[in-house]
Amino acid sequence: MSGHNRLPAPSGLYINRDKSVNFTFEGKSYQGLEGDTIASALIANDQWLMSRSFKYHRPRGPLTMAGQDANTLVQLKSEPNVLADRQNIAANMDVMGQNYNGSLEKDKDDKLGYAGRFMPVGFYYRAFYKPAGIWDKWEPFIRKKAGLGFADLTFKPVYHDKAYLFHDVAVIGAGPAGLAAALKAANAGASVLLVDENPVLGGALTYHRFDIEGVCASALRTKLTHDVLNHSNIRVLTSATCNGWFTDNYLPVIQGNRMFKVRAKQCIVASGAFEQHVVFRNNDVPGVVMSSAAMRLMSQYAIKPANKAVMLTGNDDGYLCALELIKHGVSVPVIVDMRKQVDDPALYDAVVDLGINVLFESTVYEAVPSADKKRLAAVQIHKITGKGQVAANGISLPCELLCMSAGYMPVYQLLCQAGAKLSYDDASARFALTNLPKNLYVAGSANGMHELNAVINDGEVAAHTCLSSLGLASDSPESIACQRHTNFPWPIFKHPKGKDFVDFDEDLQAKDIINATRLGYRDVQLVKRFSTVGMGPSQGRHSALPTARLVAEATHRSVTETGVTTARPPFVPEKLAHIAGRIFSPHRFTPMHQRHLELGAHMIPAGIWRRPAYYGKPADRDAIIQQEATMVRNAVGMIDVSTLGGLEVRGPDAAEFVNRIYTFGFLKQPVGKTRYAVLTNEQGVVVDDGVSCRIAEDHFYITATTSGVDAVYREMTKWNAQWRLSVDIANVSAAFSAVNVAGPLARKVLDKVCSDVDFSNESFPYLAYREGTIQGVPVRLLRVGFVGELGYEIHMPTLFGEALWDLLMEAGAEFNMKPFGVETQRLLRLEKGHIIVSQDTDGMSHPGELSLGWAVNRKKPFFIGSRSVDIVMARKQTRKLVGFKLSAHSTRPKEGHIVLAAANQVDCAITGNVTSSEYSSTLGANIGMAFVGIDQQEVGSTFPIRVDGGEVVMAEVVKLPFYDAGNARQEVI
Amino acid sequence: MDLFNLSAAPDLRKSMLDLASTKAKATRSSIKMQDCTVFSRAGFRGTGAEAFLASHGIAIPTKPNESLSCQASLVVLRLSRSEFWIISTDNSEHAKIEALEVAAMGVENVYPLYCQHSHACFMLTGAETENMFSKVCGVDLRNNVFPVGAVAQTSVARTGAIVTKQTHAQGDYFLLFADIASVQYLWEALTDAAAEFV
Repeated sequence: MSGHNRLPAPSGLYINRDKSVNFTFEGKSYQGLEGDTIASALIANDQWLMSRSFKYHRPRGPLTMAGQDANTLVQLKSEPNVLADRQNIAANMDVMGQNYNGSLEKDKDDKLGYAGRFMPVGFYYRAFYKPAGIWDKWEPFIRKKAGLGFADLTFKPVYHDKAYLFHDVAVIGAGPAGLAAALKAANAGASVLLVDENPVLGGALTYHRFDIEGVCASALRTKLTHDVLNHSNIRVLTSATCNGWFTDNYLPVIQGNRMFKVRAKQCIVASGAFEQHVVFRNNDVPGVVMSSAAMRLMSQYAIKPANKAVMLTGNDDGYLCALELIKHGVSVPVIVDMRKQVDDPALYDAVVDLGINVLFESTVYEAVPSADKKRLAAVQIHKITGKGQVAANGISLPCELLCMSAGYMPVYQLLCQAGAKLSYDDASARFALTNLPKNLYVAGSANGMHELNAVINDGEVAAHTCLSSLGLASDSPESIACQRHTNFPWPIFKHPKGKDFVDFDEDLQAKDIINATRLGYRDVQLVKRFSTVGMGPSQGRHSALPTARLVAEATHRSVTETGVTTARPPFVPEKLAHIAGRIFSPHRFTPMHQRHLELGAHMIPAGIWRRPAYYGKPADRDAIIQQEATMVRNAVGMIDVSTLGGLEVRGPDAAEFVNRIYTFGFLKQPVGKTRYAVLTNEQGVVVDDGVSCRIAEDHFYITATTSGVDAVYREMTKWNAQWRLSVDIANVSAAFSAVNVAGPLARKVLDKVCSDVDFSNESFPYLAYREGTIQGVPVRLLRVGFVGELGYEIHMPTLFGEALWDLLMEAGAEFNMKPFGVETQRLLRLEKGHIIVSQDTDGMSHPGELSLGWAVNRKKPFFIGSRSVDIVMARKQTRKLVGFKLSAHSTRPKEGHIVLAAANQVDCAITGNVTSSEYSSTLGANIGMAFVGIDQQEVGSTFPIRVDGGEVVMAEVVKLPFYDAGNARQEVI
Repeated sequence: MDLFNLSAAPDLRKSMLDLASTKAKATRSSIKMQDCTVFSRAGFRGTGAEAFLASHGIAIPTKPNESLSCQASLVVLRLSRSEFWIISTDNSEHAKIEALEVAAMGVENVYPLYCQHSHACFMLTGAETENMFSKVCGVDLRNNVFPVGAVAQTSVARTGAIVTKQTHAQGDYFLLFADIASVQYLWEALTDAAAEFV
């Protein structure tokens, strides 16, 4: 049975009576209906106790039935801190309470409440730290007690994603104001997005009673929702939360596992108002609820919340709630009205006619729980004698339910995130939101409207303003003022025995807030931080106003002067999965990627590229690298260098442009020749390098580093925006794939596939550039020596990459040519003493430190960074990049290991670091490059490197290159 | 040198896209994607590009970020005041495109671009395509704000992309151009985004 206290239809707007859902709570089986939340299904089965409070472990049940409070936090199998009055039940769902020691029903830690006097506000800032060392004793205990719920570490992430939505008008909140606004905007032709956090449209129309007869809400909701749902210009998102407001109406809206990123030209926030509680002793006992919560239970979930209820109110809405309770068979013997009189006499007559006794100028001063503390048993009613003061004696009235309504506070969070100012008039106890940014509007009860016709009118007024901004015609509605008073000015009745909660999330009582002010925290923001009021899951929805009132009173100021705490996104807790969404991790493959996989390459990331490190298993890394290196040194190998950056500079000023960008001289670079190109930034730091190929007088093709090319391209276009040289600059990195065929037999391989280029040393010397065709495919050929052997880079249009790779592999087969990977290339170039910018350089490396002075033309008038290069190279040098060598038996330093000033001095200075390190079978030694102190650079001297485990090894400084100092290998005839 | 014909050897072009990994998802979706990466296209930039194309009978969109269909399967994109791409959407106009590229060599202020080899090209069809794009692209590509002939130079699934909408006898379609080295990644991302639209 889905609960014995279900009401007949038409109550139950959210539920499907035809479909039962079984679930468990605390191991006990329950049955609810489809559409039930965990909380409604439990209450339907008379289970009000759902949670334990954060600090004192007090029994807690639903307060709002709208997910606005932390009283219903429960644990699901894979998710802690789920709001039971927001989460729908699902078949076989296992729900547990949380934050208890023992069981939810019998929590051993509920005795903490008796120790409350020893845990005053902010006690944790002052306790646990003295005497010295005591924290270590306290920490395990505190850690055990801290936190709510348990994370399921075996949980497998589920799919979340994001989507953009674009609309003329976004309306946040589908209550009467939001529905009216959406319809008016849509009727004028605007594209409207209507967002509501509830599963059914209507807002307060789905539960609130607006008239004595109790008929207008249902009829109005039916009409408005029908019109909205059938309007082609309106997109409706229900069960969706707009969780923040960002500049220019950028709105994150979470629905299910998707976050919509909404872009709206206009935005209307019709988010409604939070009903406020009354502060009195034991106002947290299960069964003490907001009047709106009781009406939600009846209207939305068809649940009769109690047999006997008391209504505590500071406005006329309490009377309407009482009428609704009576209608559904709940006995309401008394309305406790904190005011002197009712605003609408007809309401008074209506309730009196039903036999309800109205006690004016009275309040509930204490709620009395049942013996097992799990449910309200009675209320103690006292006469109000002054502001927050009550008579000494009162009357006790048994009841299971106390409905309270102290008034309303606008749901101001999104608006204040947008910079709106929330002000409060102490005299009328009314709020106002002002200072809204352009294209953002507020409507309905969030705007202080509390009469239905005024609410609807306000929505239409906001829509009209939006339409005017959009240039769409619409009738201008007459504004209707609303002077209705809904907020009782001082619904706080501090009790000498305490437990009069201001903030349910953090178990903060009235005295806690007052004590914070006595400790000197006069500013409400400081009170918040010291006491943690408003910092719990409900983010001050109910505590902000009483806190402001208490701080104002204690500091002899008005609430207006005190203000309320700041609202920041997110509006409700959101999962990291929503923020992450479907993770887009772009990665790039070269055209030969499939071939690398077929050849067993071990692929590694290089920026966003994937490159072969070597061809074989990681377990055999060292041996494979040496084998591949030996192949290149003695025969021929081929490496995929498609990831190299490529830049085209064309036009009459191409040479002048390149000459200004790079450090070398390029004005006289001959056509058909390549030249090393170093790029410094304006601070004189080497940031990239490559090879400049002069294809024609007005055409350069320049390579750049894999990870640096995009930045170089940006720099080039940025500078030419100033220089206005007549050039066309193109980033062609992806358009060309490339391989480097290297080794003494490289020429023989090329000769087999490219017949229209003479590869002889005379016709195609070292550092020359040629163009040719391979099987009709145009290719660019660069004679290079990066790995220290005869080598040709072949740059081909990308769509031919795989075909030419296959052709070259086939041509090289007779010479036993195999591919080699990027780690092998790093070893080969290290042997040759070639640096890799960003590996052997850092954010401070200038050409002098890198021994690149030869690549800097000091005679030309300008290159980027020229002035800085002059300055930094003229200064006293402090470090130098040098080659080093260690015996093959020595511990091999790793990249990043530090270079010390002295070997035997523990606290000596760090003078540098290792930038490259590898074992070289060619040299039979461990070799590398490192930054060392300027006094450690002498060839033949040694310097200490601290390696793993604190060991210090002595490396010998070696003149670069390690291999083939005479360049005979790359000049091979 | 400097006579580098990017339109050469069309039969040897090969897209590096491996469709096998996404076949199941792609089959279910009502959005159909075609890899047109190897189809012929050419690009030209420079202050003389517009006049050059016009002199060869190519219709030119009047404003940047517009495209138009001309001569059966040719689509012309105007990406800036002085940058134009010419696309053969069914790969039937290779001869015309290659002729354009050859003719452009040496023409003052006309710089051939490398879009044939720098960009992958997908053709997307289906009523839900614009909604699929809303999951991967921050630009509103709905029909009422992105009509036939519109061009967006934007980011799709965190990859720089050019999107245009065009129409032919079978209805409206989108052309998407993006980094060729990211073709596999982007195809998989789009297939994933399209999967919910069955």
